[in-house]
Amino acid sequence: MTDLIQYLFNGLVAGSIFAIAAVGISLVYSVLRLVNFAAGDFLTLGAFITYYFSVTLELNFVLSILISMLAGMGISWFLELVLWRKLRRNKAGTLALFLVATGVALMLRPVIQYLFGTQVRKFNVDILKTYDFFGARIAHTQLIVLIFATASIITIALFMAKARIGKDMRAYANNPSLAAVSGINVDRVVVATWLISGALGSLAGVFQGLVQGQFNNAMGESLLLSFFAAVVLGTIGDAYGALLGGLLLGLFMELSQLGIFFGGVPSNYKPVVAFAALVLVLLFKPEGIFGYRARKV
Amino acid sequence: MKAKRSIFAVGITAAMVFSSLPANAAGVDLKIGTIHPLTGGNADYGIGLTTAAEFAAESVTKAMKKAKVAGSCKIVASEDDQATPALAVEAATKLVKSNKVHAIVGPLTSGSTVSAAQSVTVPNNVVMIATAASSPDITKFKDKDLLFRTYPSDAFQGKVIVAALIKAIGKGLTINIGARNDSFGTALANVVTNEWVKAGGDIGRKILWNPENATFDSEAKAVTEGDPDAWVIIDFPDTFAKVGPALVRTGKWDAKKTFFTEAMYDEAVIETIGVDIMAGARGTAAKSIGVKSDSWKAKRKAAKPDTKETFVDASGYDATALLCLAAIHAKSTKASDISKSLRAVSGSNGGKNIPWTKMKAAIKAAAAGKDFAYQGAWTTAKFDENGDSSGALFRVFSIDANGKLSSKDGEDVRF
Repeated sequence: MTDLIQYLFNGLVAGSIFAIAAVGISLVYSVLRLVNFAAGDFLTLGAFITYYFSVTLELNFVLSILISMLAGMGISWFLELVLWRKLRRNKAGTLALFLVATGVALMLRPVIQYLFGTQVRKFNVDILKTYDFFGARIAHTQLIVLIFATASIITIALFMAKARIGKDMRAYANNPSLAAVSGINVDRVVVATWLISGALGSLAGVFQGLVQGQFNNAMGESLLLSFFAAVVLGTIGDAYGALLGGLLLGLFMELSQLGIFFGGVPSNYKPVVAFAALVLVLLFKPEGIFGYRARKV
Repeated sequence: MKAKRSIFAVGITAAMVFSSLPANAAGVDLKIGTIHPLTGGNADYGIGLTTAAEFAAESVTKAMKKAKVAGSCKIVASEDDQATPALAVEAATKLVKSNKVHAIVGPLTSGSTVSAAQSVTVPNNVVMIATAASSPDITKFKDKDLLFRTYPSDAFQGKVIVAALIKAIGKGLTINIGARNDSFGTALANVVTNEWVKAGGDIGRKILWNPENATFDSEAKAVTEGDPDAWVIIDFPDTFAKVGPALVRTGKWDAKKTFFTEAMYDEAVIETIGVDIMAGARGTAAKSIGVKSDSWKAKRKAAKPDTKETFVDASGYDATALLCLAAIHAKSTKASDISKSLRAVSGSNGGKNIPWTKMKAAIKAAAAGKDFAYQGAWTTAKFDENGDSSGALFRVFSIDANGKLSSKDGEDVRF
């Protein structure tokens, strides 16, 4: 039982971070048909900006996170104005957009390296503090991340369901032409998508930095594959699906180590388990868990 | 008659001039590239090795002038692989295809070494001397005799760890092993497993973790299960900076019962990971078997005062010096010729010992095509048939409560 609680908790923490990052990627794809290969680097940037304000300038940690989210939004908005909007108007195809996104990622990496260096960094938080919960050891930082990540996930879900702009984004994602003729302000939807994606990227970066305890400039890119797997698992372009996909992916990876699964899958096979689960789901539901939504369109 | 005398005089003069020149009067111009992590968690080691390689090329060039041996030995480019195999392949490709190097010094890590050799240097016939790659897998690598290393194989270190463990906790007990899932980690974990079991002990858990994992708490939980008598952790600083806190959080791990490998033999690394995490731990690290190592450190510091010193720097010096001497000995920049001559100048074929402090003599001997044994600042060992260093010396170190390193010469293990 203790093992189940421990792995379940570890899985939920990892999954909630996957979910937050994946929903940003999914939103961008659903609205812009753009595979945002630079999403991982926005995580790294978010963690480093928070580090800069909270550790170097000794500002309040929560305030630093908010500044880093604003910075993520600002950079995303800037890229929309100078790059993505022009490419869309020039009718750039999906492959061209993907390659440009890859180029943005490759440019962001040396910029982050130049600005913040390559040394291992850590936030001013106690990464060793734990709580005992029915025999399981729950890390203080992980608990904080799980609570705030859950709150963020609920906020995102409510925003998409209730807020006017959230509804517009879903409408535009389902049918851009119909959305445009029915009076939805397309530019507003696009900008909102980038702002949310930038903010979520930064937030996921801070959460990941907290959970790992320490981070360096390679943090985001190493997780990118898992984020894309979460997006595909939950149905490409479906924000709710990405949330669920991220959570499931984290749970699959961690729970696979439980003894009941053939004595526990060795931890170096965690990615194999995650992608085997992804393949299995896609075999039965080729459009992902929420695939029926896509078929409805 | 006068004309005949003039021609005769010119002939005699020319003969005298040519006979006074060394055998390789035309000289070889050897272009070397380096691959090391210049950024990231292993940057201190990579920068130290790269600086040492530059220092070697400068020393050899000066000595060549003094010895009146034509040609040159230059580091034409130094690439950063961040200790990542994919980046090492890119770096090697750039050095071979764009910089047209004849030889490469580095990489630092086993994963990078195997990837760069497999994908680039062996297919393109370029000699490479890895400076700190220790995986036993490299010994068996099919390299057309183009891959060498100045750092000892973990086939030695595995034995040292087990000997240190037996001394610390005794025989016949249970240990858990945690290792990074790469060429270095898996191979050394296997050596330790075999040696420990051979010595009558048990392996409780052997957990391999992927360095790019999102979290390490489940791995930490797994490696602390079973109440072992001790742990052996095989990892690099940037990954262990994430694994270490997770191990502490389990409440079951004890640093005082843990043995690390050489990557943790650096006080700055211990500081970064956290003194509160590392205090009390022990480990093993290769030690120089070179001659006049302290004198070399002083000279290197004087030549390159801005670069921080690490324990393995001189390996980069020796790798570069050996390549230069081999090219002079071979009178060629062709990979197969350099490869043969690397053995001729490192003592594999016999000959007298010539220390690094007498570089001019070494260059003269190489230019004359003589076999000799270069005695480096890091190693005096000759290359064996696999291109491995045939000798090694290891220290057993411990980390005190303030994160300071210490070791006793009496506990060193020599092979």
